[in-house]
Amino acid sequence: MTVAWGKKGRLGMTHRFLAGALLAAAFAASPASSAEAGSRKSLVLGGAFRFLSEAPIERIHGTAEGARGVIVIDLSDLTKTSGEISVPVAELKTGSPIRDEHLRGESWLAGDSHPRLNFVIRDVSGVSTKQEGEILVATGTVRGDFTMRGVTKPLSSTFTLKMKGARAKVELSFEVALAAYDIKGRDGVIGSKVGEKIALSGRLVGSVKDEP
Amino acid sequence: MSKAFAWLSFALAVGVLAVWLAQGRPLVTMTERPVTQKVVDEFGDTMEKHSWEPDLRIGLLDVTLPVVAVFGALGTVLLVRARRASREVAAKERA
Repeated sequence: MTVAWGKKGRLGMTHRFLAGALLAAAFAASPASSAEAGSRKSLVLGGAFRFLSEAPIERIHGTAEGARGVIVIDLSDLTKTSGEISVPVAELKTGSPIRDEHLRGESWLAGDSHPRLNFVIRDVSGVSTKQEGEILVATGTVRGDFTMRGVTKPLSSTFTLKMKGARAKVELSFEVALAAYDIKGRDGVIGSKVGEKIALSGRLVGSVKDEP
Repeated sequence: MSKAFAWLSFALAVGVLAVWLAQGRPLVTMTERPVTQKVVDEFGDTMEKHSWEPDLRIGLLDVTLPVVAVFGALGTVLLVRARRASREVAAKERA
């Protein structure tokens, strides 16, 4: 090739130009670079949370429907995940209308002034991924800021992300200490009838969209 | 007559207490109970689906204690009145 280029100047230049163009095109179309370009996805999710309060006098199970979340992930680097998940306070249910009303009241979650519980994702760590057939499974720890009753505190949660085609599922599990969010309830209730820590687990399912 | 109503009041108080005990001693009145159903989701995972089913169970603080207190007090008052009345009748008979 080099000899031919040397022998025929004009043709050699054309070949060099063509080879360069082909190389550039090949790089542009290489799988690695196309994966980089299309690796950012946005997950538009909806679902529910469950919560459990364990106290010496009472064990309270509850649900929170209407959870919503938008999470932006980078499949080539899941530590670059960002997003937000929120739950409406009005949807918290424990099976007792009186208790639900108290829960939304001023001395508890103050649902009128703070209608949603919010979790803003800051970073993700300890990620491990595997492919189970056509399902991509990722697990790890997500850290962010959790806002309850207008008080924002750092929070970390374990997570499992599953993606299958254009569908995704995110499961989270974490604990919140009521005192950290300035929730005092009525005198003596926390620690006797209501647990000092509330365990939450969430399951959100939705669609996957390409992110520019 | 008062004595009969007194015992009826005590019976109602004991009855409400028994119902509360039999219903699992909830602290507050429950109108729904959680139902868990196992289903397989679109990712092939077995998951627990939670829903609520109507189920009335009286609570200690909002129903049982007030009812027991009211009927217990009413029964006591009626019993005292009945005894007082019977004593007065006995005194009149002696006189």
